[in-house]
Parts: sequence; structure tokens; C-alpha cells
Amino acid sequence: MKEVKYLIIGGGIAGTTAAETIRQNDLNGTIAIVSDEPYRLYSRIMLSKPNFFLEKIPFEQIWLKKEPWYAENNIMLLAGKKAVSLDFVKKEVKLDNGEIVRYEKLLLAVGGCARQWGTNGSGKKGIFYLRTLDDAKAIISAVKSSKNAVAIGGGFISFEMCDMLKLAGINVSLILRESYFWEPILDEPSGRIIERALEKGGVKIFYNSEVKEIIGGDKAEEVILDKGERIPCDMLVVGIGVVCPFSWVQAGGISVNRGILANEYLETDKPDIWTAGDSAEFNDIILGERVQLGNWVNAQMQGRIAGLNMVGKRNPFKLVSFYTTQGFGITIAFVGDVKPGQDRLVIGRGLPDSGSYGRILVKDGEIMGATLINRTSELGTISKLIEKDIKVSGHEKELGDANFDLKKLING
Amino acid sequence: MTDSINKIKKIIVDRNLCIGAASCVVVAGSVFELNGENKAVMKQKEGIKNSGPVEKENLEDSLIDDGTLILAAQSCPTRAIILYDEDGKQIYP
Repeated sequence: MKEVKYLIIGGGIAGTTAAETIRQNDLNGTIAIVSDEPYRLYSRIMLSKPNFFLEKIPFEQIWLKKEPWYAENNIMLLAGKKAVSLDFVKKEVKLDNGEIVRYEKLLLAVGGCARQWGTNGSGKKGIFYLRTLDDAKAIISAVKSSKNAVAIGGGFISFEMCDMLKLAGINVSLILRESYFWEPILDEPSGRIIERALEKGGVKIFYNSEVKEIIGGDKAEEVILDKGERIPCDMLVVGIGVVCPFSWVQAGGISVNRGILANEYLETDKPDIWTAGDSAEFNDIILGERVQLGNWVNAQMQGRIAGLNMVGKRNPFKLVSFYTTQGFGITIAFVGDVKPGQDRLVIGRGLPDSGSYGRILVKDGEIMGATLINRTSELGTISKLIEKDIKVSGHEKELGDANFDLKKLING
Repeated sequence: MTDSINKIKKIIVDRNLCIGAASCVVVAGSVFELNGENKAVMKQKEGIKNSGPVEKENLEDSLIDDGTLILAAQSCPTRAIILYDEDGKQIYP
């Protein structure tokens, strides 16, 4: 049995940032990170970027820590190992090799897994998900010998994969179950802007469609859609969402919903156990709601706060986070909480036909989030408006006016 | 470690590496923002905004502390922010 003061499950940006923060504040406490991937910290966000895939950025750029960093900081990295059970009374975590690690303080930064696809034939070779470095390596290799690709699902991953595949000179068909791209997170006019960019870039989109069957021997060769269309393909990239791999956490008695539940201090409902990153469903005190956000900045900053709180501070997590991307000549940014809901007023900003269009989501007179297409430069200002809980009631007209400088609302 | 003995003199954003993740905007919003191409730019005196190289004293927020700038650079998921000290030596990455 191992005994450590700080045990961190998850070697991604949340877990590693927490370890680094702990070390800065507790020079001697023992720290172990358990990672189910056989690698040190890498830039997961880079995995979906075309420049990385097409090897325009040197592969080495993926590593965010040098190999000796762990030893230099006296952080034990247990790579390639999975946590399988938790006993919060004895304060023990069991790993898949049977080893038991006893902790004083535990961080669950388990991240997410790509949602698996259950279509006929989805077990064939040539079907890829993108979540880990090994996933990315497999796609990089497949891209080199593929002529026709099919992307499944509308969202950031699909958008970026379509871009990469087109840049690689591959024919791309995008299959959407919905009637427009990113329904229902985006409204139809926003979805259509993105579709126009995709189609202009040569992506063929099939709407309201699902793959009925994947044809081929050992390897995917063709897909048949539910309406009968047949599309030849050497590879499929599936981006249909993320699920959190935490059944062992739940079995250990920690309260979960879609994510691991936490208060604003990122504390779970059991003593000396925190959570951070994509798996945390936490009380967001800026938004006044419980949210789960799967983005880099959120994971990184939560790792920092969780680390500080594990060494004895008690800081609430307060951040307006966002995700941005670009491709096919457009930029897309999501800020704050962008889920639609009946309690939210959505104000369109600008005219969709102009190609530069935003949507600002307002609840109880305050901005909760925004989606921005070709308006990324407003991201900083909108973040500030959310963070400072600025009342925007009575300013709906200005919010909708693409030429109105939003900074004017910050200073009243 | 966020402490550094040498003072930051010059900052560059490598536009080829920048993917617009905007973690620098979160950490040091008085210095960084995203431009229309989704690349990080630095806000400088007289309203100039570009990816540098920029001398720290020419930043709009020239009084920003070095710790925050280092944290911003460290937060970048592609290590696109490059910091130099007064001797011209690269501090980060």
C-alpha cells in the first residue's frame, strides 16, 4: 500500500495544475497523480487543431511538461493506471493493478470520455473518436491514406475535424441528426452561417440523417444513411459528445449527476475530496447556477483553485470561461453558459446575413453567456459583463445593435 | 513556479502556435485580447494591438506584475507566449 498526502486522479490539465499549485504551497507533502493514459501532461486542446494534425506544428509542442518535471517537483506520476474503487471512510483508492493508495486529501479530476456510437457496424476499423493522444495518433495515421471521410455530429470537434480533413485534401461528408449545425445550442441563423462556411469549404452536409449501417469487411468502406443515401468512406470521425467515466466514484458514495457534484469551493459531499475540470458539476457563483463546463480554461483554473483549497485555503471558484475555434474562414466562440432554456432571453446581436452574428443569453436581467460568430473580439468584454453581474435590463436594444460598443455598459 | 528573479522586458505571441484558446485573456485580460482572426494580441499604448514583440513598458497596462504575465504564458495550451528578460534571455517557455 502507498500512502500519500495528496492523491490526484487524472493527469490532464486540471489534475496537473492542482499538483503544481499544491507543490508551490506545500513543499514537502507527498503528491501522486494517477493517469489512465501512458503519458505526461500534454495539450489536449491541441489534439483537434488542424495545424497539429497536419504536422505544421512540431509534434513535440504537444508536451506541456518536460519529462523530469515530475521528479524535480517530487510529484509521483502513476501513468497508465486506472482508479477502480474508492473508500472515503478508510480514505483509500484502489487501482486496476490491485494497488491501494491511501490519501489524506483526494482530487477527482477524471475528465471525460468520448461518447461511444452504437450503430450497426460501428465496431469496424476506420472509426475514430478524438479524446486522447492515442486517438489523435490513430487519426493522423489514417488521414495519410484516406480519400473519403465521414464526420458524425455537429459541434466543436466535428467542425475542427472537418477543417483538418479538408485541409488534408480528403472528401468530407458531415452527417447531422439535427436540422441545422449545433441545434439546439445555437439558433438556426447561427447554425446556417457555420454550414455556409463548411459547404463553401467543400463539406457535404446531410441533415436530419443518421447512419443506418456501416458496410465493409474488417474495415469501414461505406455508410448507408437512414434515408438510403450511400457514402463511400475510408474513415469516420465520431464527435457525439462526452461522458464522464465516474461509475467507480458514484459506487464509492460520492453524489453525482451528469458530473461529480461540488459546491463553489469544488468540494464534493464527502470530506477531503475535491473535484475539478470537465468532470466537475459545480455551483457557479457568478451565474448562480450549477454547471458543468468542458473547456480548457475552466479545467486549468479549477485545478488551481482545488489545489489551493487542498492545502488549506478556502477560495471559491469564480471564472467566466469560454471556448473558441476557427476554421473555414470563420471564428466561433462560446462564453459562459450557453445552454438555451425557457428562463433565458436570447438577444441576437447583428444580422446573420452579414456573417458576423452574436447571441447574448440573459437571465433575470444579467448576461449568462453568449455565442459569437466572427465576433470573437467581443469575448473579453462580454466576460466582464457576466463576471461583474452588470444589470443589462433596459439595454436590450444596445445589446442587439452590432455597432454598439459593449464596453460602455461596463462603466454604467 | 511563478516567481522569477529576472524582470520581464519583452513579450511575443507566436501567431503560428496561437489557437485562440484565450487562457491568457482570462489570466491577464488587461494585456491580452483576441483579434478578429482569433489570435491573441497585446494591448499597447496609443491603441496599438498586435502580437509583438512588445516591450513591457509599452503595454497599455505597463504596471502589470511579472507574476501575472508568467502565469498567462504558462496557462497557454500551445506555449505561444514567449517572455524575455532585460538581458534578452528567454524566460518562458
